[in-house]
Amino acid sequence: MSDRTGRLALANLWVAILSFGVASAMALMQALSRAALDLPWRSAKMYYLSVTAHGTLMALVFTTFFIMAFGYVVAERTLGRAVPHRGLAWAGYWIALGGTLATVAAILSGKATVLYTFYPPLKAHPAFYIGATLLVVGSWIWGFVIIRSYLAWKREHPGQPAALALHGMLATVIVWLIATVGVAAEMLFLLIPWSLGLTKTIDPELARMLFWYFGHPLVYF
Amino acid sequence: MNVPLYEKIWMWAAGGIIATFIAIVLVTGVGGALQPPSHVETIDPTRVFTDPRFAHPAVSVDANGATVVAFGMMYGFTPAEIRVPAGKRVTFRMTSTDVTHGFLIVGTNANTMLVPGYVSQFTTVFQRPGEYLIVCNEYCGLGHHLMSAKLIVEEPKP
Repeated sequence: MSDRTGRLALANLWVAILSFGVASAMALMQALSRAALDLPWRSAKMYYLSVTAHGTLMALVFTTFFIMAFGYVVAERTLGRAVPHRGLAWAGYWIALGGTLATVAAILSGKATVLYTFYPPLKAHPAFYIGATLLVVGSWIWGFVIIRSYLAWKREHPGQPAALALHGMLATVIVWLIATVGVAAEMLFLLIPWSLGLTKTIDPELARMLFWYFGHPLVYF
Repeated sequence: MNVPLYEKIWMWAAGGIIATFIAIVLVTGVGGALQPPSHVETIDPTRVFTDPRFAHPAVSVDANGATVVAFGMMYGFTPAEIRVPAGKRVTFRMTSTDVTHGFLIVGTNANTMLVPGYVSQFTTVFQRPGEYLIVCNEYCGLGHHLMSAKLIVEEPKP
C-alpha cells in the first residue's frame, strides 16, 4: 500500500468509524429512552432525534465512507498501482466530509428530526438536505477515481483480466452511480428548493418514489 | 465456455437464493392477500374538511358491506372509533390533512400509508368480531407514538 493512497483510505475510514461510534451511542440512547429508568433528557424530541441520527449515520454516512475507503484499498491492491487523480479524490473527501458535518449539525441541533427516509412534508433545515447532497457528490468523485484507476491499469496491461475483487468494486460503483441519481433528483429538484422556500408545494409520493429508487439498491453495498 | 465445477456450484447457489427470495415474496404476498397501495385518486390536502368526499368522515353500511371514510391528522384519526360488521366487505377510503401517516389495524392485513394529496383505498373482510387497535406506523412528528384509534368489528345484526 503506497503512503499516498493509504492516507486517503485511512481518512475515509476514520470518518466511517467515528460516524459508526456516534450512531451506536444514538442506538443506546434509543434503548435507554424505552427503558423503565428515570433518566435525564428523556423526551419524545430526544428519542426521535436519536432515531434520525442513528439511521442517517448508519445507513448513509458510515456505509458511504466505508465503501470509499475500501474502494481505494481494493483498487490499489488488486491493480498494483497508485490511485490516479489523488488531488480530486481528496477534494471529494472534503466535500463529502463538509456535507456530512452540515447534515449532522442539523440533526443534533434538533432541526432535522425527519428520520433517515426524510419523507416530505416533514421538513428539515436546508443544511440537512444540502449536506446530504454534498456527501453524494463527494462519493461520485470517488466513483470516477475508481473507474479511472481501472481504465489506467487497462491501458498499461492490454488483454489481461483484472482481479475478481476489482470487478466487484466496479459493480458496486456502477450500482451506486445508478442508485444515487434518484436521491440527487429528489434533493435538487424537490427538497432543497422547497426547504429554502423557493417552491411552495411538494409531491410526497414523487419524493418517496425517488428516495426508494435510491434507498433500495443502497443495501447492496 | 468451460466453467469449473466449484464456480458452477456457487452460481447455482446464488440463483437458488434469488429464486427462494422471490418465492417468499410471492407466497407471503398472495397468502396474506396483500394489495398494492391503492390507486391514484388525488385530493387537495388543504381542503380535506370541505371536500365532499371527506367532509363527513363516518362509516356507512349497506347490504353489500361497509364503507369507511376517515382521515389522519397530527396526531389522531377521525373518526377515532370505527364500527364495522363482521364477515362483510369493508372498503376504507382515507387521506391525510398534513404529513404522511400510516394506518395499521393490528392483527389484520389492513395496512396502508395516508399520503397528503392522495386518497388511499382498499377493501378487506374482518371475520372475527372484537376490538382492534389502529396505530400510525409511519413517523409523522413528535406525537407519532400517541396516534391511535379503535376498530370494533360487530356481529351482523340478525
